[in-house]
Amino acid sequence: MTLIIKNVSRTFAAKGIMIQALDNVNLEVKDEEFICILGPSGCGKTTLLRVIAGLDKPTSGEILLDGARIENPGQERGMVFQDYSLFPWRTVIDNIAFGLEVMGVDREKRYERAREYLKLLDLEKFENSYPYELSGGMRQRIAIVRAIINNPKLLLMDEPFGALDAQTRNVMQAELLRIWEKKHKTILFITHSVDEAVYLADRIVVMSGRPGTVKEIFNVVLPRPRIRTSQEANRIRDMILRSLGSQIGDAAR
Amino acid sequence: MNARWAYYLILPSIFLVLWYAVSEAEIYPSYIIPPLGMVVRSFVELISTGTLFQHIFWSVVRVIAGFALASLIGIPLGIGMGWSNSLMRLVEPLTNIIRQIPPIAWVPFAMIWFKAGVVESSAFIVFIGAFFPILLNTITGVKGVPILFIESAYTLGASSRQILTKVVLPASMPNILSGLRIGIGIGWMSLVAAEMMGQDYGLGSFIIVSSTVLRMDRVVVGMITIGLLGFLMDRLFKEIESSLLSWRGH
Repeated sequence: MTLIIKNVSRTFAAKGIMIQALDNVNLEVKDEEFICILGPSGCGKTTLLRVIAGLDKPTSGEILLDGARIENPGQERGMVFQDYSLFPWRTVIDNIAFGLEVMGVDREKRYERAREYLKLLDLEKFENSYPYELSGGMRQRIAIVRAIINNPKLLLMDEPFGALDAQTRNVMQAELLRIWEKKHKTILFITHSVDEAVYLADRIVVMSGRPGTVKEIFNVVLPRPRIRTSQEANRIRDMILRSLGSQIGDAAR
Repeated sequence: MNARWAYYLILPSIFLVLWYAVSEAEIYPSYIIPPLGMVVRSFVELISTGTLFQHIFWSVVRVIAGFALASLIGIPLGIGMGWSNSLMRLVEPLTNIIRQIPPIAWVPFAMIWFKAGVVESSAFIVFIGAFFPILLNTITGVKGVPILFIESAYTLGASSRQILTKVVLPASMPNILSGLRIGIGIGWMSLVAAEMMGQDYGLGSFIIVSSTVLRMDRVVVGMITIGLLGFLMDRLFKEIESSLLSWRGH
């Protein structure tokens, strides 16, 4: 898998005013890479992810997945949203199996696959529960495997743990890494949390404020599992905060 | 029996006591306020002869026929209108004008168009009454489906058709079901209008015929029967709603 984001710009027209969300974004993502995207609010992070998902179209530029231009949503690009996106009228297992169901896999086979993932999450006993019966953390874990069961080449995650408390968040990060290592996925992960990015990513992309563009890219070469409070982690966090901080300064001026 | 049941019964009991008192005092002639005892005797008589059940049977048949047709057209059209802006623009002005016309105004045409039928003409009036609440609630439901669910389904590989059947339809089910409940209620309420075309049987025609011979006690029997059956139907629909929508979890 290779993902190439080439000169992507996106402009929105809102009430007659043109707002440029993305300005000439370039990025290349390698196979099985874990990339975190950081940036101030409104820097177009979500827009970038939506364009990659095919839910939005760039005004100019293009995105190539294994050489093919992305035009529409597709199963090879899974997406996990910040808000709880499980279908409330479906049980847990029918949520996880949704992608297989629309592909036409018969019930027995898709339940079998879905149960494998429930086992991976250690949530087997919630198979027939409805989303309202689950905690926020459980819902997001299920949303993640619902995207992964389709075996996507690329997993797009838009602040998936943003609504969770700090404790649950840490647990979820560790679990995501476990799934990532087991399933060999390429992940593009948007976050507001520098700590989260340093804990998770191989590379951290810092975006500038509106219009969003790639400002700096940091390589995180720490071995996993990472110690959040290690000297090296602190050093990287510091560099990133500086990078982010300078543009907060820009915005204040 | 607990305290909650007692609460339910307080107002109906007071109503009956007042009715009884007014009847016994003989303040009004029986055609203005039919005495309670007279109404009860008519009720018992109509039940024991089985006449009341014949009226009920035909009314229920007509309401079910009109309601079924209203659902069969109203739900798909509502989904289409909620989903497609161009269909909405095409159909909405016309439906919005027609829905202002009360069902009873259609009676003259119902008589001309469906004169031969025992069921059709009345079912048509019920259809007019039931159709619009079903249509409007379905549209509201479809328009209210969170875009998040639709986009999730797209990224999971669903086609537009699958999104309609597997996301939009179940997500708007709460609104569709309340549309059906309101629809059958209004359809049932249109009964008297629907059965004023000289039918032999039906609760509506029973009320009209009884009133022309000034048997106001029987009019009241018809009214109470319509009220009670309507109440039972509403309860039934509420039960169906809560069992189909258990996923909402309260």
